[in-house]
This record gives sequence, structure tokens and C-alpha cells, in this order.
Amino acid sequence: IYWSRHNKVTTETWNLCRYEYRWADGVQIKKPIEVSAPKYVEFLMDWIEGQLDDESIFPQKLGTPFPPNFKEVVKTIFKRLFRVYAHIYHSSFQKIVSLKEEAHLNTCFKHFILFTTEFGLIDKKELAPLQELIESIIPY
Amino acid sequence: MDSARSWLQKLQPRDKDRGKPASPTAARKDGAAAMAEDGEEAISSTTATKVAAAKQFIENHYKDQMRSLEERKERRRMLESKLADPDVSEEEQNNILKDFENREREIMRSRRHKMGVDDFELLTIIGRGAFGEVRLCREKATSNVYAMKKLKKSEMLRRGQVEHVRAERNLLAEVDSAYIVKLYCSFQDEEFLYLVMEYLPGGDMMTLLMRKDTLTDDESRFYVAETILAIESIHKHNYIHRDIKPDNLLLDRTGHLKLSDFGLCKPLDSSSFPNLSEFDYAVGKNINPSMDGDKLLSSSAAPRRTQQEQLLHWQKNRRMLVC
Repeated sequence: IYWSRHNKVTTETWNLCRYEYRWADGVQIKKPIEVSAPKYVEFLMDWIEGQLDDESIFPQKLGTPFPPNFKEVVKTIFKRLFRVYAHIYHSSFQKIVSLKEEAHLNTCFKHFILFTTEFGLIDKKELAPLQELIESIIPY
Repeated sequence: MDSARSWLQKLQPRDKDRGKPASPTAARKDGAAAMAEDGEEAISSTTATKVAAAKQFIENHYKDQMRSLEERKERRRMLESKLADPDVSEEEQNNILKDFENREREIMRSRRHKMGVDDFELLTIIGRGAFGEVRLCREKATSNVYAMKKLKKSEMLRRGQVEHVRAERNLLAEVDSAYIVKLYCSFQDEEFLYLVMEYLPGGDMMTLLMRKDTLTDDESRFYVAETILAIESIHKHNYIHRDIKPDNLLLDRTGHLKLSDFGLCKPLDSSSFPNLSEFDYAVGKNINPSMDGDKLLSSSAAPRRTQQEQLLHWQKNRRMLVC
């Protein structure tokens, strides 16, 4: 993690049975394009890092206020991060188990879901690909 | 010579046993197990390394988070117990609570700040190493003084030392001990890796020995004892240093000793260590204190250098390391 900022996912295609995600960041790539899963994750991580480093969105200096659209920005980040979890659970989970990493993955995902639920950061329809897993964390 | 040979014979079976985990057969076996489990190719060492690093990162992240949360709760508890004093008016209580919440917000925001070289005022250079320099610096926000180790990435790559530096950084980040130089933060830019460490104004044992020439028995006993405690503390974390020498024994402002320079350190599986009690028995069995002891001492002891020669030897070694 320290030396390589991006852990590329080793699978070839980015699809979850009925779900397919396309990448567009609205700046350099305005029209959504089809990309492989590792490429999507790389684009996404670069984009998120750019957002976090942007002081007009995430101020670091004391006293600087957050922008009026802060929540919308955060919601977009979380919506896209969710897709990484969705991909891992649907396409790479057996690999994760063979690497004995499933406890770490589940801990991170549980934290992620509890946080997004608490603050209403992801619309329910976006959570559909992992509905069953989420219900085991937060019974409805 | 006979006793020396019997020592070797005693050690050899243990060497063979110790070699087993590293043998190709064992490696193949592990690979086969991974393959059976995977139904795919064996896990590459690169993947295994990244997995271990990811696990460690996640575990440290949640430990840090829980610690911050507990510290925050503790601060709040202390404040509320003070506010329970009946002399404090309700208006004053509200003001104090508001100030407290503002301070907590500032702490949260400062934790999100990414450290960089611009956060420090660079002061004098206090050392040079194979990959760069060590410089005194002052953090602008706090005025605290640190030692900043600046390592040239291209040089590390050229000399194949990336894994050593990574091991050092990981150990310093992981081990929290009074006997080990503390790593406060690390960051990088395009050209350099920076390790911001505790500054130890007492210098190192090499300099002390050169200055004092001879230590008293009490002084020697003290420093040897602290060295043992320092080495013990990293062994407890399953690391071995592999470069213990006066240059790497630093003294803090109160004269206590700390280990530094973990570039050669290595994590170890302690189950592969020999059984020392058996070794002691072998020692007792083979040495006749009245006769063999003398012979052993006379034959095995290297010709003793004068103190001056030893210091020059160390000095030469240190200079070679720097070159």
C-alpha cells in the first residue's frame, strides 16, 4: 500500500452479471467509456485522490469552510467506491479467501456500509448488487 | 581442536533442520498447497507481499482509529468532570463546551493533513548515509525538532535496497518502544523518500567512545544493560537487527540508549530458533573447566587489538559505509 498507490485488480472484465459500469469523470473523459476492471479502479483511485487533495472541496487549513456542494461530491465518491466493493465480492471473492484476506475485506466493507447508511451517502438502488450482504449487516 | 569439532557436529543437525523451511521441496509443497486451494497458479511472491502489506495497513488503520476515539472520549470525560464543579455557571459551561468542540474539530482536520517537506524548516545536516542525508528540522506548526532522513529513490533502486528501506520503515512504524528511535511520519515526492524521526541530541556510542576513551565499570554496565533491553524489545516483535554496532546506538537527551538504523533488520519466525537449553547442556558437557577451558580460550581468541586500533577499525568501517 505504501509503495504502490494502486492495487490493480487482476481480473479482465468489469461486469457483475447484470451490472456493467462504465467510467467517466466528467473532465478528461466526458462520455462514459468501457474499460477493464483494473483500469476502472485505477481511474477511480486517481480521481478520488484528486478530489481529496483539492483544498476547495476538502480544506486542510483551519477555519476554511466546506463548499456548499460538499455532500454531493462525497456522495459521488462513495457511489463509485461501492462499485469496487461490488466487483470484489462478485468477481474476486474466492481469490480474497485464498489469500486469507476476507476478514479484512469484510471489516472494511461493514465500516463502509455503516458509514454510508448513517449519513445517507448512497441511494438504495445503487446498493442493489450487494443487497443480501448489506442486509446481513443492517437488517431492515 | 577436538572440542571444536564436536561443537560443529552438535550444530550440524540443527542447521539441517533450520534449513528445511527454505528448501525447494518445502517451497514446492507450499506452492502445491496454494495451487490446490486456488485451482489456479500459485500466488506470486509479489502478490503475497502486497497482501501482507494490505492486511497490516488495514489493521493499523483500525487500531489508530480506535485509539483516537478513546483519547477523544477521555478528553471529554475529563472536561465534564471539571464542569461538574458547582462554581461554574451554566453560561460558562456552555462556552467551555463550545471551545472544546472547536478544538476537537481542529484536531480532526489536522489529522487529515498530508505531511510534506514544506511543513518543516530545514536546519543543519547531522549525518550522511549511502542514499542521502540526515538533517535537523523543525516542524512549523509545533516547533518540535526532528531528524529528517532523506533517501534518494533512484539510488535505492540502483543498489537494490528498496526492500531494506521498506523493512526499516515498517518496523519503525510498527514497534512502539522506548528503546527504538521513534518514526513520526514518512512521506515522499518524485525524487526522495523522507523519514521524520525522533532527534537524539546525545549522539552515538561511537562518538562517546572516541571522546572518553575509557568508560568506568558502572558506565559500561549501564550501556550494556540498556543495549540488551533495546535488542530484547525488537526481538519481542520478531525482528532481528543484524547491524548492532556503536554507530547505531544513539543517546537521547537524558542519556538513555536507543537503537537506530534498521536497514538490515529482518522479520523472523522464532520457531526456527535452536533450543538454547540443549545448547547449554552441550557446552557444559564438552568443556572441562580446569584444562579444556584454558586451551579453548588460548586457541580460539583472536589477537586482541589495542583500543586505538579498534576505534580506527570502526571508524574505517563507518567511512566505508558512507562511501
